[in-house]
Parts: sequence; C-alpha cells; structure tokens
Amino acid sequence: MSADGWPTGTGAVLEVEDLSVALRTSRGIRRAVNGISFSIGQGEILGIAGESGSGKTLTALSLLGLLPLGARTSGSVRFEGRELLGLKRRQLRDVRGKQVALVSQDPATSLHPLLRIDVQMTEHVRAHLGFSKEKARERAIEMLTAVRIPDPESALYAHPHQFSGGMRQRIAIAMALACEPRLLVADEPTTALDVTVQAGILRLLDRLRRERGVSVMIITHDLGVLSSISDRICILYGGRVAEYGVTPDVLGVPRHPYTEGLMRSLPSASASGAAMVPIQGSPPSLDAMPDGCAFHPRCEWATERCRTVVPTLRTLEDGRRLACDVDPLPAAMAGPAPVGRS
Amino acid sequence: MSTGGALPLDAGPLPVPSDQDGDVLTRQDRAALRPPWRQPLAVTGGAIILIWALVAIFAPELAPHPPNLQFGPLNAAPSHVYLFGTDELGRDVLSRVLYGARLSLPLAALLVAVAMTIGSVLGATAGFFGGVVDAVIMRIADLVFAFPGIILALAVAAALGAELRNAVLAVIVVSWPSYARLSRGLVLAARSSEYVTSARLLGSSAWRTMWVELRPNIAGPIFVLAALDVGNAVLLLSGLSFLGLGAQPPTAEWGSMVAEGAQNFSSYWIGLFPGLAILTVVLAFNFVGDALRDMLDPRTARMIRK
Amino acid sequence: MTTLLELSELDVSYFHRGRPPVRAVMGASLTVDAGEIVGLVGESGCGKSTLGRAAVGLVAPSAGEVRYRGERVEIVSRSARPPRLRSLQMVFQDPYASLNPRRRVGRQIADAIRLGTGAKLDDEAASSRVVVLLERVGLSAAVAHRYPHEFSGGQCQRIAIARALATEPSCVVADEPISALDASAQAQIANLLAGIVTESGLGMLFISHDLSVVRKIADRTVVMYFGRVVETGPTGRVWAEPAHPYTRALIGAIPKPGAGSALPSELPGDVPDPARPPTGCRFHPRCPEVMDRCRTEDPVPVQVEPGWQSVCWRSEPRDRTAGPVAAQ
Repeated sequence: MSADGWPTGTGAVLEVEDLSVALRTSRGIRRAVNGISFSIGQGEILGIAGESGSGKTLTALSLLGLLPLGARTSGSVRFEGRELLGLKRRQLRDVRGKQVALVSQDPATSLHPLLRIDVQMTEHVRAHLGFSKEKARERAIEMLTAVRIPDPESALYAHPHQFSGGMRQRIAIAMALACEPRLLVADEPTTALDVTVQAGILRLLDRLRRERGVSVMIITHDLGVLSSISDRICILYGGRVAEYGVTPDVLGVPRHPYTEGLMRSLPSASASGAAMVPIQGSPPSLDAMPDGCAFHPRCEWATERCRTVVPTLRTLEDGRRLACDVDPLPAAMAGPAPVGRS
Repeated sequence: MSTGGALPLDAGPLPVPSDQDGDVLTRQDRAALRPPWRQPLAVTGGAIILIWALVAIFAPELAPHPPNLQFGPLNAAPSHVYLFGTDELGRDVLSRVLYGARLSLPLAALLVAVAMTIGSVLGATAGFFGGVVDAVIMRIADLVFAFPGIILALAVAAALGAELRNAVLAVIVVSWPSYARLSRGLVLAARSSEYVTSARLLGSSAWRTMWVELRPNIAGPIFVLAALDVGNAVLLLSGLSFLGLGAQPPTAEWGSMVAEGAQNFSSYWIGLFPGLAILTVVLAFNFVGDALRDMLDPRTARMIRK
Repeated sequence: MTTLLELSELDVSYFHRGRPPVRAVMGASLTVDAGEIVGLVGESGCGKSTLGRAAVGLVAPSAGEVRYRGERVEIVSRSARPPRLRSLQMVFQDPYASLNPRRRVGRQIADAIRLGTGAKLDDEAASSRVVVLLERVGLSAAVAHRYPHEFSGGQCQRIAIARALATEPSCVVADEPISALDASAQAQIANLLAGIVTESGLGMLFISHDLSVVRKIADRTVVMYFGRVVETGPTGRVWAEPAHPYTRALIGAIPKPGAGSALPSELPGDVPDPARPPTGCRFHPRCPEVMDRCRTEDPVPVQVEPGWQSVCWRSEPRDRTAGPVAAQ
C-alpha cells in the first residue's frame, strides 16, 4: 500500500503507470491516451469515467493487447507485478481471458449468435484450464447460477437470441468469469440496457466481487452508475487523468472543473425543477486537442496558464489526485457537498 | 511548452507488442482515398473518353479522306500514306474509324440515357408503391432478364428490321431492366428511412417524396451503372452491326467494320483498328465507372470528402 | 387549457400470419395540452414508441381513437397529409436518419416551411425564414448551405427540430430525441425543447426511457409498462410519491450520482413474451406487492389525486391533508 492507502506493488492487482497510446490518424500521430496512471486493488471496483474521445476505451483495450494495428504504447501496465505491454502473442493469450477478462457493451457482439451457450461457455474454459467436457459443463452451470440465469441446465442448450438483452449480458459476465480471472474489465456494460435491468447487473457485479474477490474496472460515461458501484473513480478527459480518488470524495466534492461540470449537467444529480446545466462546447477530437489543459476552452475558471501549460497530477490533502492548476480552487467547488446534491 | 498531442521526435523507441505492425490505414485504403483526379485509372479513362469525344466532333476536320470514298488501293497495308491501311473496297480505314466515333459514342450515350430514365422511373415506381404495380413491372423486367442480352437484342432488331435505329431500340429494350432492378432496390431501402417518413409527415405527397427526397439518394448508384453501361452499349451496338442487324453498308460503324475484317482476315488492319477503338472506349468507361463507384462507397467517400 | 392531442383507449396490435396478435399498446389514454410537456416513460417493449407513432398517424390503431384538435388523426397514406394535420409534427431519435443526407439543410427546412404552412414563398423569403428558424435553435445562418453529415449529432438534432418548427406546429411528438446523443448534447437539446415549449406555447409529448430527463422537463409524466399506461400524474408528485409499484421500481432502479449513493434496487424477472401476456394485471409476475386479485383481474384506473391516476388494485385516492409525506 502506498502512503495514501492506495494499492501499489504486490497489493495491487493492476498497476498502470504513465500509459500512453499513440495512433496514426490521417493527420499524423496523436496520443489518444497521454500519460495516465491508476491502480486497482484486490476485490476493488475502479470506475473509469469519460466521454467520447477521453481515451477510456483504448485504455481498456491496452490492458488486453487488443489495440488497433498501428497503435504504439509506452509506459507500464503491470498485472500482478507482471508487465503486459510488449508481451508476445502467446504470453498475452495466457493472460487474456484467463486472468483478465472483458465484458463489452453489446452482448450481441460478444456472444456468438450461432453457437449454443454451452459450446461458447465451455470452449475457452477447456482451452485455458484444460478441463474435461464434464468439468467444463459443471463450471458453466455454476457460473450461470452465480449470475442468476433461471434454469441454467436448459439455458445451456439455448442460443443467445432467445434471451433478452439483460440476460445476454449476464451470460457474457458468466463467460468472462468462468476461468476465475483476477480482473474483470467491463466496457460500458449497462449502457444499452434498461434502467431496471442495469440495476440488476450492477448488483450482480457488486455481489460477485464480494463473493469471489475479483477486481472490476468499469468504464462508462454514466456517473450515476459509477457513483453507486465503484470504490474509487478516475475521471479522464482528452486522454489524461483529470481527477482520481475515492468515489464519494470525487463526486461528492468535485475539485476538477470538468467533474464539477459533469455533475451539474446530470439530470439525476439535482432535484426536479433545478435546470441541467450542460458544459458548453463538446469534448475535443483527437485531431484538435487544445494546447495546455485540454479542458480550458470549456472551463469557467480557466486562466492564462491553463491555455499553455499542461497541468500535472498532484496529490491533495484528502489523498485524491487532481490535474488542475487553478489555485485557489473556486469557492463553488471547495468545501463539503451541499445536501441537495445526491 | 506542451506539444498538444504529437509524439516528440526524441521519444526514443517505444516497446511495440509483437503482433502489431504497419499503419492503421492499409496501402489500399490510402490509394482509394486519393481524389479521383489523382487516380491513374480514372484519369486515363477520362482522357480517353475526352479524346474520342473530340474525335467525334472534329472527325470531318481530322479525317484525311471521306469515309465512304472508294478511291485508294485495295487492301493496302498501313503506311505513312494510309495510317491504318485501306479496306477491300479501297476506303481509308483511319477515316472510317474516326467517323465511326460519330456513331458509336453518341448513340451509346443516348441509348443509355433513355434506358436509364425509363428503367429507373419504372423501378422507383415499383419500389415505392409496391403491390400490383411492383409485381407487374418486375415480372416484365424478369422476362427480359431471362434472355441473354445479345440474343434478345438480335430478336428485337431482326423483328423491327435491319437498321441502325432499330438496333438502338433493341439495346434499350435489353438494358432498361438493370436500372429498374437497381432503382427498385434503392427505393425499397430508402422508403422506410426516417427522412422519408418525416417528409410524409410534413405533407409531401408520394410522388413528390420520390422526386425530391429519394432521387438524390438513388441517383448516384444509377449513374455509376450508366457509366459502366455505356461500354456495354457500345459492345452491343457493335455486335448487332457485326451481325448485320445494325448499321448497314456503307455506313462506317466499328462493329460492321470488324465484320468486314473477319471476312478479310489476311488484311488484319481492317478489323484490328476498329476493334481497338471499341476496346479503348469500353475500357475507358469501365475505369471511369469504377472510380465513380469508389467515390460513392460510403466508407471511402466520407474519407475523400474530409 | 386547450387539449391538442387526445388518445382514448388506444389499442395497437401487430398481426403475423400463424401467430397470435401482439398487442403493443392496450387501452392507452393520454392527453397533451397546449404549453405543457407530457413525458412518456417506460422500458424496452412497453409500447411508447408505437404509441408515439400512432399519435401522429404513422401507425393505424386497432381500437380506440386519436384526436388532434378534436378531429380524428388520419393515417398517412399515398396522398399528401391533410394541411390541418401538418401542425402535428414529430422529432425522431436518430438525427442523421431523419434528415435527407443528400440535400442541403437549408433546402430541407425551406421545404418544410412551404409544405407545412402552405405559404407560397420565393427563394429569398424562404431563406430568411430558414435563418430565423436556425437561430431559434441556436445555429448560425451558415449552416443552411451544408449537408447533415457535416454536423455533430447534437447539431443535427437541432436542425431536425428547426425543420419541425418550420410548420408552426401546435403539437410535437418527440420520440427519444436525445437518446442517440452524447452526454453534453443531451442536456443541451432537452433544455432547448423545454425552452421552445415555454416560449411558443406548443404542446409536446416527450417520449424517453430516461426517467431523469423527463423528471427535469416534463410537467406531467405518463408511465407505461408492457403496453399499458400504469400511472399518469404531475411529474413532481409522481416522482416524490409514486403510486404504482412499477413506477416505484423504476425510480428505485436509477443510480443517483453524488456522495454516498447506494446500489440501485433491482426489479427481478423479465418483460413477458408479448405473444403470451400474463392474466390479470400485466405487471403481477414481477410485482413486489402482488395480491391474489392481481393475478385474475385487470386493474382499473384509480384517481389518486385530481389529475393523477394509477392503474393498480392497491392504489387508493389520497387525502393530501392527512399524515406526513414519506421521504424519498
């Protein structure tokens, strides 16, 4: 554990340090992810929050070696102490699926439409762990039960299209957890689902990490989801970390203007009747990244320094990390959250 | 101070996972991304068409001799006097080839325009209104499709009489169904799109919706088909003339000239040069048509437009 | 308050050969008055989109009526939509799909002006009106010469809204108008629509699966489940003390951002197969408060308070003066 109580070294399941991902676009090389660092402890849920263009999906893909052709990475991604960047394909295969699993947004694409559930679920368990057919089938039933699919034995003989969206996502989670990975990466796992179904999936993820000790990295733009389930949260903007800390701190008392702006723009964040205040403008695209602090064109409190100097990530008294040079922090943000906020 | 996103030049080598290589955009992608005027095939095709068009317009000035004048030595091989030689009746092959452009090109373009108009209107009507209208139109189209083009064109031309005008009509009859089928498919796809629904909600009638809303969306692929089809039309027309059903002697038409060449095989130049003319025109329209189609392909089109 | 749109006991069923009919909407009634935003919420498969389309005449009702300004709404057919209906407009979910990709934006809006209002305008007059409309939705005049694909989702939706406004509508049905947009644009467009209703006094039916946004901008909320309207009432009241168990479950499932929020409550089970609906109350298999009666008898609407109805056997008229209000 580091001095501020955050997982490092052997205590961390995942440790990302100064990760950068550069892509070659039609206009040259650009860093879509620019020097981000975070860590996840055992049994912990870390939320990665950001809108389009923040680099959140690329971060997830880089953990699994699934970056697009031509992407170049730098920095370090250590999974249980072992460096993942630069691994050969065969070594990556050992990690991917078995120790680090992915659940993506659209279960229609992560589940094969033509294969039966039992085939899909047993295939990689047998490949990774060398199970026999019977043992793999038992494991499949065990996982389907754990995610609360009714009548798992019959479910095995069905095809994905026979299930609703929420059920398919549960099956995808069951598949991801079949090899008992230490880390589950969930990329927008509930964005496409109805709100009651989403609630079920979130409770499922929370229960699974408590019962099995699996760590979860949830990536989404939905702060409500992260607020209810993640222990710590990392807010990304323009490929960099804006704010990173314990969830109730960061979302309850935002210190970064972007976090503050996001919270203010959410309809659910304030009482009915109070207006949603959207952040003016839109997130920058990779080709048009502003100089200095990427958020400055949209920031109410931007100063001259913000236009030219990229703010470095500094640690505040409460242990969170903040990348904003505006000092002193505006009165609107300093201090405890008003009661009406949550 | 900050470089706003570009990798600094002295970053040093970055560790590259071994299964990554090359660029995000493949070489083929980048080739397709160049605008049409930078694509060699399209440029070549366009140039050839332009040259032939000029030839067609200025044939009387360019041709050294009148095309039908039988004055020269019979079956003379190409020489500096008669660049393409003379045929079995002593006519200058070069002049005949040049004059032939005045027939083949405009006629082919005309008949494609007519076939395209008739076919796409019928097809759009079939697609938009559906039901009986659709069934009737498409069954007639299917009937035409059932026959190989040249056979049907032969039958029509023979029935109407051996004349160039009838050959043109025959090719139109044979060509319109492709446009009908294409435009019907496009209209079917577009009919349920929300901009059509919006237009109906705003008060646009069915016919107005077809003309104003759908036409710009289906015109592209139809024009591509037309461009590719001109080459076909030239071939069909020449084929009919070759078989004696199109241009009648002494008209200098490429197809009938090839027929003469077939009868005078030892004098290769009689058939070779008109044949090359047909070849270059068809190829040119194919190149241009391909480039147009690439321009319309949504993926490459979006990138070109940027 | 003038009632602009009125749906009475609306049924919309889809018939497939060889299979039982699917009742997408069953016995739905709602009204939209001038100057109000009615929020229609529900999850996948509840029939809200179908209801929206039936309201403007894109889908034919199997039973019941749709009336606009007192007269029946005709189904869109081969002929042009009658002029009196052109002031009843729709805004769609996908802005790129609802605009013609191959026509300039300005021409599309100008067409809408001419078709919608019947005004015979020359090009110059039309252009100036187009500019006025664009500015009203927060876009500059230069937008008119461009094509839809050149804009972001939020801007495109503004254009679509401008086009709907071109007909000088009295009533607009917005079918998931912000769902396809990213987070920043969602708030902007929702605010824009609310502003338009306030300043022009038109009536709006705002269909959305996002209860939070509806809570912000709708005056009244209509909740649908599996084809039926289960609760209708003033937004603030419905949110504070939902009368129907499904509404309570829906609100409880929304994760609330901020400090110290708990996991949202889940609603076990799944939406039933539309071809085999449950007997009695359609919600009974999943209802945490189910009674015997619910399994056999379809509940009837109960007036909880004036202007507030709940379709549940457990709902009773409430006396506001009696007892403390439960904290939410």
